[in-house]
Amino acid sequence: MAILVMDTATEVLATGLIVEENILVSAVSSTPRGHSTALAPLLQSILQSGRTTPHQLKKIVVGVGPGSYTGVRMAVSMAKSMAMALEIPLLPVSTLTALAYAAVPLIDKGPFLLLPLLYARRGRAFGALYQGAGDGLEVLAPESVQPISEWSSLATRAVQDRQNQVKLVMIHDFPDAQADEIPQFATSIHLKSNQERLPRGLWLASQTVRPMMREEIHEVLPNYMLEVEAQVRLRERGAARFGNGLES
Amino acid sequence: MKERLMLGIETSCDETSAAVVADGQSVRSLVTYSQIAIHQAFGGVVPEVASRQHVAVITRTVEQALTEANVQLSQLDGIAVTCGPGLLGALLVGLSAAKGYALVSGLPFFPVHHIAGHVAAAGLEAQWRPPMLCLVVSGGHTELLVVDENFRFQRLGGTVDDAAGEAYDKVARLCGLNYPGGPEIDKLAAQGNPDALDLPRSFLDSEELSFSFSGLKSAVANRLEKARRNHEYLPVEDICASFQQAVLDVLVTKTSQAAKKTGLRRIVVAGGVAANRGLRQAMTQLACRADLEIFFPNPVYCTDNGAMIAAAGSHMMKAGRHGTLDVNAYANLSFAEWQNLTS
Repeated sequence: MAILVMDTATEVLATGLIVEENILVSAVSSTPRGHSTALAPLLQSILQSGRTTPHQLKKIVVGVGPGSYTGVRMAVSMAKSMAMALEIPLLPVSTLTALAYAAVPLIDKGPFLLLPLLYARRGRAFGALYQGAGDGLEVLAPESVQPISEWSSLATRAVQDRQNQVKLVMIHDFPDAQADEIPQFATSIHLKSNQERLPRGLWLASQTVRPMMREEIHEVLPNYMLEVEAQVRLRERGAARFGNGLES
Repeated sequence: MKERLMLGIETSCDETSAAVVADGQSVRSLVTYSQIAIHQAFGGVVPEVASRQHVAVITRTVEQALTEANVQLSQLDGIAVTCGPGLLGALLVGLSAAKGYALVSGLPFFPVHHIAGHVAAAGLEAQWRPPMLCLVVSGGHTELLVVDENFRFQRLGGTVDDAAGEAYDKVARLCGLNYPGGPEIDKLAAQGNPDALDLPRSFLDSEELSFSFSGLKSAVANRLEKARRNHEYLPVEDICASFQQAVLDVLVTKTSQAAKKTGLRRIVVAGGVAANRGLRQAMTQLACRADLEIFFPNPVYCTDNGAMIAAAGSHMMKAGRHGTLDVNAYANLSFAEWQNLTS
């Protein structure tokens, strides 16, 4: 059974072909602003290397973010059209969960916590907190966008709650210019230094989500997590005008 | 000969549109999800809102277009999609989806220049007879072009500042009319006096094939301000008629100059503003006067739509100009750059 995975929500473009529970071939690229030109040719090339035709695919897995809005829409749009055309299920997975699964092999042994953080500007980060549970991950703090300091104290508390008997691994995509904003933990890994594992992370994350079929595929959307600023301003203007029941 | 079916996808601004067109001419289906109502609240298009809306409806739009045309993806001969110019985030949604369809079907892929699409609309449900002179007038563009038998374009000139459609929207706002303002002005202009206001006509006495509408818009604003200060009543119909006349005088004169310069007798008038009744009348009069043949797209194909993109893709296919799946989306895209994208 062949499964195609793809994610364009971060600066790492990840694609992979899974056959018989194994990554048969994968390709990643982290060329800035290169996802739009690279995505389709990379998918073509991994299918070709895996001697697989699109019609042999049984499922498509796509990372839906959170992350870069323009970036995440590319893989989501392409995965939706491919799944519709092939009439196969589409599995939308969290990019954060995929990052967390991709980081599991970095941990030698013992109990662990995983904190994937994606930089969301203005001192904020998209993130989630997971803990290792058997072969999988358990969600301790669900995906959200928070001040970076909030993520930092949340993870610190989680470690203290476990009497410091747990290893905390943070995986992040903070740009160099924002290096001073990176929370300070013992194990901090930049996404790019673990990018080769992201396709496998996407596949593992897909095993926890329900496949979308036919009509449901139309409804698959990126997880933006933040409203468009113009919409926020419009609502605030409306609230200012009508908030007290009187026109201001 | 077997007909050739092209799927066309357009997402360059605030319409998500898909269509199936046979031989660049016969529209088998056209499905458009317009976002006008969504953007009206903001007084203009918000790019991020537009992109979010496109990704929410893109596959549904395409599926509906295929269903209405009663064809399956495998029965098509090609897939065409707008790759620019336009809003980058919006373009990327249509482009990524189109690449997905092309990748799984193995169909030839045609990246289309948005303006070339507007010109190709003139061949929908009508004869396509290049070489032709093209005047493209829309909210974002005012251009004079030549299209040849291989669907290659040469730009003769264009606006140096605002597009004609943009001037229509701005003047409509000054007059307190609804967005989009073009159709409102056109309607009111028919009832007004075109000589009521003395408004400027840029480049009218020059041989240069350029347009400028920014000064015209400012002149209307200044005249309205003067009237307000002097407690002078200016009927909105007269403002609209005078403004429209100034725009039309320039468009007609420049088109006539371009026809003389190129020796071309067939003229396409395309783009959103080509649905304007005043423009149609003025260009038809020019055609009679100067013995030219004039082609207007059906008004339903004048605004952004997938059928015009499919038609453009068909002309590219006929000329043997395919694209590859590594093509990018471009906020700005010249005809020369676009022509280099295909082999």
